[in-house]
Amino acid sequence: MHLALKTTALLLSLLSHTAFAQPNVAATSTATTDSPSVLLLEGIENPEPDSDLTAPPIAGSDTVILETIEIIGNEKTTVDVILRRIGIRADEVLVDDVIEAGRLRLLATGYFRSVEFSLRRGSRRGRVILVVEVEERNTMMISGLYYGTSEVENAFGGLSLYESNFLGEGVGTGFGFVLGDNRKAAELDVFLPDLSGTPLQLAVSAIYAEGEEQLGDNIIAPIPMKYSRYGTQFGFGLSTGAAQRVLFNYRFEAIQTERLPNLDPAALRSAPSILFDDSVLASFGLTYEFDTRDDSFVPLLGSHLLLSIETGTRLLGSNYEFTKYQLQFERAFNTVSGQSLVTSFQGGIIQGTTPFFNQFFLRDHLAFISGRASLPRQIGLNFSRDTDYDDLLAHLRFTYYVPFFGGGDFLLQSFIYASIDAGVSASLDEYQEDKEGRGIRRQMPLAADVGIKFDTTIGRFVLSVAYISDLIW
Amino acid sequence: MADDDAELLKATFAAKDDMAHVSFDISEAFTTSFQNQIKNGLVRKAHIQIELQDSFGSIRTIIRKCTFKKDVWDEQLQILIRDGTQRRLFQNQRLIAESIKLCGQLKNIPLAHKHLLRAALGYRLRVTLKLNPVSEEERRRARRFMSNPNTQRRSSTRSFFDVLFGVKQTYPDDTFVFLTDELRRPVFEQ
Repeated sequence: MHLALKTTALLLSLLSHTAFAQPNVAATSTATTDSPSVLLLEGIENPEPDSDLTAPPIAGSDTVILETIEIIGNEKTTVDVILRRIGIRADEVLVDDVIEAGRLRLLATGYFRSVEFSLRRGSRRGRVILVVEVEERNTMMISGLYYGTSEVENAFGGLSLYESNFLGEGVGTGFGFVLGDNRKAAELDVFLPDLSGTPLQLAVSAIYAEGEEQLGDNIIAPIPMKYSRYGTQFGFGLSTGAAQRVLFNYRFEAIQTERLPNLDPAALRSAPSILFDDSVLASFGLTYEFDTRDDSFVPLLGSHLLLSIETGTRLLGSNYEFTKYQLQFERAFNTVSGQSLVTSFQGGIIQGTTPFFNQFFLRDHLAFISGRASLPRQIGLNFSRDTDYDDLLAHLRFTYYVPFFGGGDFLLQSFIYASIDAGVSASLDEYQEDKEGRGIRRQMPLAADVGIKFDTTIGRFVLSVAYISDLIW
Repeated sequence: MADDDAELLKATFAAKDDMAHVSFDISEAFTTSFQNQIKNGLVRKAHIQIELQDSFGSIRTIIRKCTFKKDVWDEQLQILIRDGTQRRLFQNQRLIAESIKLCGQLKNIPLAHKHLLRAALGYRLRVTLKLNPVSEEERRRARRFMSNPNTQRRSSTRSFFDVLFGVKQTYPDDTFVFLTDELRRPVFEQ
């Protein structure tokens, strides 16, 4: 009698389960004892697309309650951070899909090398304990490493570090600096990916820079234009869907620029865009981001879209009135055996007047080509004589990646890459007067690069032949 | 994964009525880690994709989906096996190894109608086993942006050692690929 009741309960439980609650199901059971049994369910005309996501029912019980969550292996990361990311609470009904999604969310933080979940019996039947076992990984990464020489600095160098799990609180914190004889800059930023368990994100950053731009064509006695910047940005992001977010940003910078001596009007006209003495840059920005890449370093699949608009206006106290539009798009194609082709496009346009350091600089994007200097800016500082800051930018790049070594404890993976790119920039004013524009007329639009990318436990590095060439020539 | 990396699979390719049936066993490929995960009481999944190829490409592909769950109170395993529209639920299993065999041993699976098999030989089976497959949608839902795109030190894409912050997101979806030697067309009764 007991066995018969148990079998009936099992069948009722089975048929009440959503995966099996199909009108055309005909179930036949060979289960009459506790011995292994099979239920054949056939005649299902409209099966769920992926109904195996739904677990088989637990015998003799419709629901299981999660009694408590035990977390082990976390030496640095706080329990609150882990619980917030899992998104599961004690005393709730155990839903397997939700549990698995929580595990994936925990892995997606990048704080852990491995995350394993398991269940243990709770205080009584129908109650279980979820055991979360994590193995932490190094979260302090080198996010920038700069050094070199140039025609305006005998030597310059710098370093940026990013700790994505500061003090185990799940807060990203970055600091970077770059130093030269006449130029220096530092930047600090703090990023909260989860604001008290809500879909909101919080970003705060600050920048300090003392720079110098060189005017005139006289290489022996160039005219320096010195400036300094102290700025901050506040932003908050909102998750708007899977792999999507919108980021609102407020930017405020105090700028001081030394007045130039009396100059030839032509040289003065070619000076980078900035107001002399004290000025303020204040703007409001809106960024939309959609990222389905499997990896931002060397993606094999997926795409990344970033659209942003920044507006500086007197209403915010800005001395610069402008609107800056930017578009970035990247798409990765997995070709054969871990190799990938990545295409990327970046375009932008600035209307109005913004300081030169907020304009487009083709050298930031275009790789090396013989006979053309192309040293990029570091933390906003220009270490070259080039002052071609522009309002229009279009840049297209194709990069092919081939994996060649990896799987070690330190060197996780490495790729050889080759890229070819084309880019142009132009000043809007100049373009209206001169259709050739500045970028098209003075710079070869094509460039190329080869190099190696390393993914290590302390950071991700790119050894670029183009950049070495930039330093030498 | 390229076919160069595929392991050799022994399979039988036989005729029954008007259909070509396949049989093979890949239960050894279910990792110890996967078996331990089943033991831990949470739902685990395995997908087996069976693709029949000829010299021109793919002829037919079918997928077996297995779901394992152990009841931590009863210490009993349930395995749901789904072959197309047919579902079988195995209950009261106690040995994980036996449960794995229920999924990984495929016996006389109808794969292709005889009309699809025109050549006398040159057929191959390409079998892909995915343990704990994570769908693209699941990956997207799990993602969270972990940095601010507006900081200036990450705005430049170029430097000598161009270092990008980021941690590769690793998901435990082990994939194994198997490939048979060339198979002959089974002999169908007239």
